[in-house]
Amino acid sequence: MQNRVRELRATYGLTQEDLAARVKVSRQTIISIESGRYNPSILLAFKIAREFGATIEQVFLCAEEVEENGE
Amino acid sequence: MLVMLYTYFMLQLLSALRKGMGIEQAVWTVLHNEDWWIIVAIIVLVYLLGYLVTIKFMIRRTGKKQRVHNLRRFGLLAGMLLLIVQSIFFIFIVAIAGWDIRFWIFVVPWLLNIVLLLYFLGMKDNPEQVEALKTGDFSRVNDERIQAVMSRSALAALNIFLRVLLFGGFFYDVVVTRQWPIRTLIEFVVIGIIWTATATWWNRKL
Repeated sequence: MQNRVRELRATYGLTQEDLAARVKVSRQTIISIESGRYNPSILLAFKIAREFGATIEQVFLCAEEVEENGE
Repeated sequence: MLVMLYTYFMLQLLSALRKGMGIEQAVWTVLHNEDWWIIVAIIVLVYLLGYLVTIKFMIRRTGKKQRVHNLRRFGLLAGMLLLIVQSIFFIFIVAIAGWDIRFWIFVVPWLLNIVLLLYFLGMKDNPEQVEALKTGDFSRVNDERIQAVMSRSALAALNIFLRVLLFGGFFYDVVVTRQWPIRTLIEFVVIGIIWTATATWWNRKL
């Protein structure tokens, strides 16, 4: 699964620590999500998406769909 | 508490050595002294009582529970105390009994303590942990990723345990001692029962 967390975080001017504190996880978890090493639970994905005023699908992208769309 | 226990053990050992006992006999005498366990129980009780009193005092003073939030400082203090006690005792032992290669039982903990002290010296305070210890809210430091990490590592440890220790013990009994591996078989059965019971419980819960 790919995601746009780093990109959206930069857009909103948030640091990793800021986002981590808002969604109540450690900074390391945000680092792992951004680097694609960890796929968050649906609850955490929802919380992150909500912080950016987006839907889960707008933040987290299925790798297969990304390949199909040629992105 | 560790310092108190260590000091007590070392003083008892020193006393036994001064009576002219060999190192092994002295250790044996201290560990097989009936009073030893009573003293340990008293020390533990005193420590727990002190801890409770401290917490009560803190609650009364601040209105909310406080904890030791600076692990580095706490670890360094305890480690330094232990190192001082260990070193003093070791000097006494060598002065009285002379150097003996069997003193490795004192040297190894001494070296381990130095390693531990170096660890605490090089340790950086994690602001998330400090915050959690201050507020009592561990949701950030014990988030879902950490829980996944702990769960996976627990499974890996269990996997290694099952493969290495149980199968190792099984084959050791069969091949080396040429006995029926009764103990290993009992362990297999107990693990199987626990596994089935917990799987059933989780199957209903999830």
